[in-house]
Amino acid sequence: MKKQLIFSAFAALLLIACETDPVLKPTTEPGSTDEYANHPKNQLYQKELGDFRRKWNIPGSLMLLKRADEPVWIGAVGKSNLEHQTDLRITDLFRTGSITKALVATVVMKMKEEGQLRLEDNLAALLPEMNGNIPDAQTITVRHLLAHTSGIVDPTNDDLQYQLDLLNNPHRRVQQSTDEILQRYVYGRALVFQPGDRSQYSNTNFWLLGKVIEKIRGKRLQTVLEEVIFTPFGLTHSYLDRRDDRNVVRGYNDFYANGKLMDVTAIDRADADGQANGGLVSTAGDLLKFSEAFFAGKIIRPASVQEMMTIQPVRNGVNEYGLGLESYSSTELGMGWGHNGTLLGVDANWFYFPDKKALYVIFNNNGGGSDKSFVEKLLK
Amino acid sequence: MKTVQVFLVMLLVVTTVNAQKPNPTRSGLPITLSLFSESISLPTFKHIQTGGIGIKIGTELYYRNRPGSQLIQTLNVGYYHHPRVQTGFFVNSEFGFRKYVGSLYVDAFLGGGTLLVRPVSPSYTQDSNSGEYRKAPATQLKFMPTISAGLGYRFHHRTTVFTRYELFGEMPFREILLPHQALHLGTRFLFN
Repeated sequence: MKKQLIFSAFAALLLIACETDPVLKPTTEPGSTDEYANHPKNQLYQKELGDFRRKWNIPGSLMLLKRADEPVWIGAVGKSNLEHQTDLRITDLFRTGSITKALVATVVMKMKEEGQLRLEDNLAALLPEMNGNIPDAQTITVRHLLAHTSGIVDPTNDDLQYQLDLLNNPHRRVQQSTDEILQRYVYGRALVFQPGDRSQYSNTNFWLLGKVIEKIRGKRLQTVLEEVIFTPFGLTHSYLDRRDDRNVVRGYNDFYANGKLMDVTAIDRADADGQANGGLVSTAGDLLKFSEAFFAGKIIRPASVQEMMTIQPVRNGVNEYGLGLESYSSTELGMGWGHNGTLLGVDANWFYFPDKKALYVIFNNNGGGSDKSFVEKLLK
Repeated sequence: MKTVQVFLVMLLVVTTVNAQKPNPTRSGLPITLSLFSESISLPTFKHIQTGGIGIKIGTELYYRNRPGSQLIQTLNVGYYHHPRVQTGFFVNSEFGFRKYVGSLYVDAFLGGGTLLVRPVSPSYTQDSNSGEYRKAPATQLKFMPTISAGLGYRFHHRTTVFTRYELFGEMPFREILLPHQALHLGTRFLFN
């Protein structure tokens, strides 16, 4: 009887162990990428994208190419959802990760143009609650935040406990506000360097900028982005707020380093959605619209765009960052400006090369990283 | 890596067999039963987070069994369920030392074993010929290093209650291991 009880208890435990979270089916049907079939280089681009996807073990890759002498081309290969074997479509929504920073920085520059803040305003003046919580808040400026020269710690990349907490309970991270994250992982920690001394990427800079925007505008960041960028420039598929949107492409990663790709969408949602540092959900088409408006000086003045595309000086070492924009030095295309976007299950690039008037966007749903330099050859 | 895991488990089994039986004047097998809360975390008491819950059952064999101290080899099986992340089933063995002060005792253990992990999220493998992705087996076999320290109280009839803080890992995981911590509450009694 005792043995039977023990056996039954273990059988029950093992049955519980078989529970898995369902991967919800997308609500829309898969479409085709035939829209660009008549593009003069469709075959070449499609082949290059297919080879790239296969080489880097990516379930689904989407690429947008725009050269000065050619119409735009968008192609997609592979799957957006492996559970349901859903084909990736050129119109699919991706989590863009840190590409978000370029849009948030654009809003900051717009506010500067409207006289709502200055780049030399300090953090303590803009957010008095940072006094005593972040060292040297009086000397950290908006410019330092935009250029990643503030020296503030970056829990998402450098704090193992932050990363383990995220794995331990993604659902809890979803429920945490930016203030709670700052309280737990940032406040009271020493600066990595004195503001302006060096450059070191930190997502905290953009959490703080998000707070500054919301405070000055008195509105949620999503609403401000709608007012400044999404609505006026027709980015009808982009959003920042947290939504239970099953049409967003799912993310995968060789999480256990065993050659298998695990669905890490829940972790990406928890880590990025709704956040000023990486929460933008968008499409390649919407990023094209943003690029055309932004680099043409239609969202903010050309002088402000130029300022964002200026590498910010540091006292020690080198910097490759402008104001919310990364530089990309290409031997083929000259200096490019845009941003990478990396989450556990996302590897994205958005870069514009002014000398060639060339633009590319790549979305991959394997966050393990890849060499995208083949694009330079295609845009040359 | 699998060979290493098998070797380590064999080593644990051999050392376990070499351990002596408990004091023959007290018949019965010591059974240790504990319930534990588990979380994926670095060692911390400051920010203990909720994660999963589990159960561990095992026995003890003694290399040395004196009134004031014991040199111990344990053999355990256990299971935990960590909602939205994974479930784990493990078999492990630990080597440790226990020191009694009156009815109170402290102990510390170092061990290892095999952990069968079933992540909640599905995994996929790419077919090298077709390039298509297919669902991969859900379970993974891991090496599970453990280290723990505990505090207990022994009643007159030899039953004990204890609490234990344990760190264990999943290996391999990326570069090194995925750390877990567990806080146990349990009892040990003689099973006739």
